[in-house]
Amino acid sequence: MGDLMLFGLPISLGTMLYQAVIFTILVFILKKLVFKKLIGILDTRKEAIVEQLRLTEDSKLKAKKNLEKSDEILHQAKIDARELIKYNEKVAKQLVQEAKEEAKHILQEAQEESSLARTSSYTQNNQIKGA
Amino acid sequence: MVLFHLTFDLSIIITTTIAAIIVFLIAYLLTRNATVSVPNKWQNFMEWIVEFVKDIMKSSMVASSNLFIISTGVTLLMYLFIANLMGIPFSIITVGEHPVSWWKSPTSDAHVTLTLAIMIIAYTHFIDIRLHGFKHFFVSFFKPFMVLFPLNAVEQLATTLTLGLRLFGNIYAGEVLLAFLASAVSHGIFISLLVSIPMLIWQAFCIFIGVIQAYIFVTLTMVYIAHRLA
Repeated sequence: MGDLMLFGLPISLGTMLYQAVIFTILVFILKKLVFKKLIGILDTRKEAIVEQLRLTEDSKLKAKKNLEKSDEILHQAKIDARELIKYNEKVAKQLVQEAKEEAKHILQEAQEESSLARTSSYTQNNQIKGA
Repeated sequence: MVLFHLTFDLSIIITTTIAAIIVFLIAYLLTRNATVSVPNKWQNFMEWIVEFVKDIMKSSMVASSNLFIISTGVTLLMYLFIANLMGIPFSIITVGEHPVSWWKSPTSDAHVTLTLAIMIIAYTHFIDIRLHGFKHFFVSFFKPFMVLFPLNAVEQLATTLTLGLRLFGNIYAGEVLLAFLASAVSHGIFISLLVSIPMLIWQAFCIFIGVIQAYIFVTLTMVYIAHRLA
């Protein structure tokens, strides 16, 4: 069994040829049917993952920026609110004060008027008495 | 079998064809419904093999995404893995005037392994010629000194021989011992029972050897290719 003797060993060339042919065919068929598709898929997925990671990084940055902005706005709003409250308290105090004064004033006027009215009616009575 | 004045070893033809068909079916069926989005477990398995070979390429510094080299690597790995394991569960031997073993690992025959080795070394030479021209290839045999030509020539021959014979030797030795252990069956029940435990251990070891040798073969292939690509 052998076409060729090498160092006393029979070598069957046909077997080697068949082996070479079938392996080559196998490699080319698999390359065409399987690996082209599979490697394409792997590459696309790799790109997609890189893209996704980049997007995540971007949105993270954006979210951070937004958070900072909203923090700033909140801070400003707090300050504004505090000032507003202070101002309002002041105004209210003033109003109360004014109202109190006015009330006092009105009371005083009323008292004066009433005493005046009393004296005038008294004199009227007296006049009637005297007539 | 003799055809066109060439002899063909029928058992090797049968087993290599079966190994090739098994590899084709596995690779084809597992990636039939391949998708870019979440892969199912079968596709994932194939992708794992491809990534594994890519890692081997990376570690031997083949900075190439050449589809043909990847395909060759993955096909080699799967083919050798299947071929190495084929002879482990059983072997079919007809005893007649010429005892013929019909079913064995195709890689336990030096024809198969040496053919693969020759193909790979020839491919590395082809890469060198295509990348750097025939002159560079021819001159590279006389580097660094003219006198070293015999050494360079022997180196090429030796890499081919070792690449092929390493695989052949490992698998053949495994099969020889398996056949020896299996022949204990003809010596009565007691001896067969006695032998069954080393048989089991040796089969497990053969599987281990088969996997390791397939891996080594692919790794060396990539190393030789990287050597030429550099």
